[in-house]
Amino acid sequence: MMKEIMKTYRGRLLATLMLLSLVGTGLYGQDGEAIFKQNCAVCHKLGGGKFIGPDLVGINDRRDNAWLKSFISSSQTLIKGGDAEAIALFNEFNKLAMPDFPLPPADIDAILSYIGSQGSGSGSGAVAAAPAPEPDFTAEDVARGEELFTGQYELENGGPTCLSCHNVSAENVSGGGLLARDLTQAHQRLGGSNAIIGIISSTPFPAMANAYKDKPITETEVLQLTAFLKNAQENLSTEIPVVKSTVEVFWIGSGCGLVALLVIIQLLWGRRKKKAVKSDIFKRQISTN
Amino acid sequence: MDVRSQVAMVFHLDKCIGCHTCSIACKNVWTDRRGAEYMWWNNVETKPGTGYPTRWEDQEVYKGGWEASGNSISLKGAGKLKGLKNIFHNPHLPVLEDYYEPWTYKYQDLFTAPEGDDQPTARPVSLITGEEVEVQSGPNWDDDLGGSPDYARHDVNFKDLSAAEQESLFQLERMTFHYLPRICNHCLNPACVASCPSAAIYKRGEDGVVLINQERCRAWRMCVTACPYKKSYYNWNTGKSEKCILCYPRLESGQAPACMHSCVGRIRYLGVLLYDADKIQQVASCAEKDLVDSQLDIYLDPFDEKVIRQAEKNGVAASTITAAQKSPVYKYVKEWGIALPLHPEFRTVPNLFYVPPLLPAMASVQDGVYNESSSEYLWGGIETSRLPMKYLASLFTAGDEEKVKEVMKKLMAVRFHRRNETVGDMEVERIEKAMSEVGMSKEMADEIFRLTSLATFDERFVIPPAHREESIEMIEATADVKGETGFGFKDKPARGL
Repeated sequence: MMKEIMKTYRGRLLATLMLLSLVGTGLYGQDGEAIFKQNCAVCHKLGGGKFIGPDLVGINDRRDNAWLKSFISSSQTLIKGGDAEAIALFNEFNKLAMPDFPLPPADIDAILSYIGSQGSGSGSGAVAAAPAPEPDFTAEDVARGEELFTGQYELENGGPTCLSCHNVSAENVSGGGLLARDLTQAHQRLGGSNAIIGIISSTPFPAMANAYKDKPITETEVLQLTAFLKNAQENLSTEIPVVKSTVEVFWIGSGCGLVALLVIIQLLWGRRKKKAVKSDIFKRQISTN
Repeated sequence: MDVRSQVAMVFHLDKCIGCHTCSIACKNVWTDRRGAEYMWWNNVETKPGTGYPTRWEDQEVYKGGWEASGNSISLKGAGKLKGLKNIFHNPHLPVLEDYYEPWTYKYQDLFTAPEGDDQPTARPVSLITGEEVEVQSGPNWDDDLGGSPDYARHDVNFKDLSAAEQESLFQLERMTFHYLPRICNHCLNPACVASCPSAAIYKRGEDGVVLINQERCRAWRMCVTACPYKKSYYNWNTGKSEKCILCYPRLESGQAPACMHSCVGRIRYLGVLLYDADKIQQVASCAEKDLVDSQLDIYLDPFDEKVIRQAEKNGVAASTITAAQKSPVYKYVKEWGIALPLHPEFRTVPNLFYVPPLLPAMASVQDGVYNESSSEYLWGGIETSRLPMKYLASLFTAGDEEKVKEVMKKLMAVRFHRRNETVGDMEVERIEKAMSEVGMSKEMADEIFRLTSLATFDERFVIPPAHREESIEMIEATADVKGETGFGFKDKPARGL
């Protein structure tokens, strides 16, 4: 049925309207393409290879339909449940779990059929779009991105500063938040600027999506932040040595500090009177009780 | 020459019978208060023994007294840097276990116990917690060599004795002991005064009595650590340290201190010594072998015109100088030279001197005949004394055996002389040899005998008049309050004025 609708102009119009209504009011829609773009395109490509998540072209042929449905609904439940394929995927993609999408089954069907309509993965490269070229960034972008990241410069729509949840090991950034992942190597981890742009502008992470729901980051800001993260990645590999994780530093530091403290205590107070002179005498005595 | 007066003491150990009357007199007068139960300002120890608190002589444990440092001396366990380092906890302090947990008995149980098959008993209860305790130790737990394996055999003064010598001291036929009564030495170079961060301890100008100002004491307890004789005690109830006050209220009213007044064996003598305060540092810092001699040098001849003039100039009262001339302590310490300070190696220059005990020589059995002495005389040569000279030297002369021997020979000469006078069964040459060896005349021997055995109360205690009027004028201008009620109040009475 979906395919039929999609083929008509009215159908497309209807789908667009439904998409708009979905964005605005959260009503359900049946337009697979719209739903895909809304929810999946940030991480998944249809042709063109791996992105943050795997390329989904021909996924219907590769995976069992029921498995796909449960994975989309809640990949994390599958992983926790010990599903071998899900775990393999999880490990393959940097242990970055796909967020849960509690969509109605009809929507999931719509997505899958949309994916199916985009050709099969086995060689039909016709559909595969060439990967978008890396955008060029100026030094100003980087500088501005850093200011935005650290909160020296407020985001235009008043969204929370990145630093409050993320850390980046860069020269002018000190002590970022530990609530979300360290982004120093995000550029490499996610595979390029476009992925970062995608994630920032339409984030798949519920907590982040929630935080920026009513205060979206503007396109310029997204670019500037991406520029900054890219720069941080580049600097890391050349200039800044890899800092050990804070927890490691904490434990090693604590251990060394403790040993040093004990040595000092021993030197200062090691020769003090440690027990009563008579304690040995008392030990020898026979108790009358 | 900075002449000052010091009330000093002599304890004659040969006369001590170890009855602890002095300790009880002191306790009843001064330390039967809450928090002071464990304090024994006066205590009597058995030697060999570990004393009170246990092993108090071991400064490796307690870090008391002074130690030589360069040309001068420094406190072993206290001082600015050491004090700062240990500001939150004063280490090396004796703990209650090193003293003992004071206790009493539930005597009332003897009267109120219900009728039963067993005798009612009064169980011991702690004077600190009020709870029933198992009595483990007391202030004289090693009295008369009691518990020798734990106490006497760990006497610190055995350090120079070989294992065989130590062992022979505990052989039944050779065993010997004597008593050592101890009070505060009211030292010329008191470590407690030097260690006090609050400057609460002071040495009285007029008679050298060392006192702790209870209003200034801030419970640092540095004095407890610093005093090598462990004669400063911390009162856990008042939060102040306390020590022997040489019964100064009694001294000021012309009475002997309670311990001395009550002494059954009449072993105690008290009198004034004049000394040269300029020499204190030099005496305290000199080489260990010279400690005794140089300390004896610091005491001045009260008959010397120059000394008297200098003393008067320094404000020493004429009556105090007269008392110094009559002082029995001066005779024992300076004239006769038969009294020695206890542990001079602590370098506090103590003012309590001891006439060492002339213990019996070794008994022997020859051809089935029991001889009280291994030599032909009851009082044989001091070389055959049961107690090794090394031991006495460790107590009184910082290890110098010759010095102890000299004193013992003098005491022996007095005995020979008196035996000759009263019994007359000794060879004259032997007596003369013993006398001339130590340069003792018959007159001197008679004098020593007299002051040792027959002295009256007033001869034993020559207490200088107090001159309170002068003391008060030194700290308060009495004319300021002339015409007012009395001399004012230091603290206003509770009812208000």
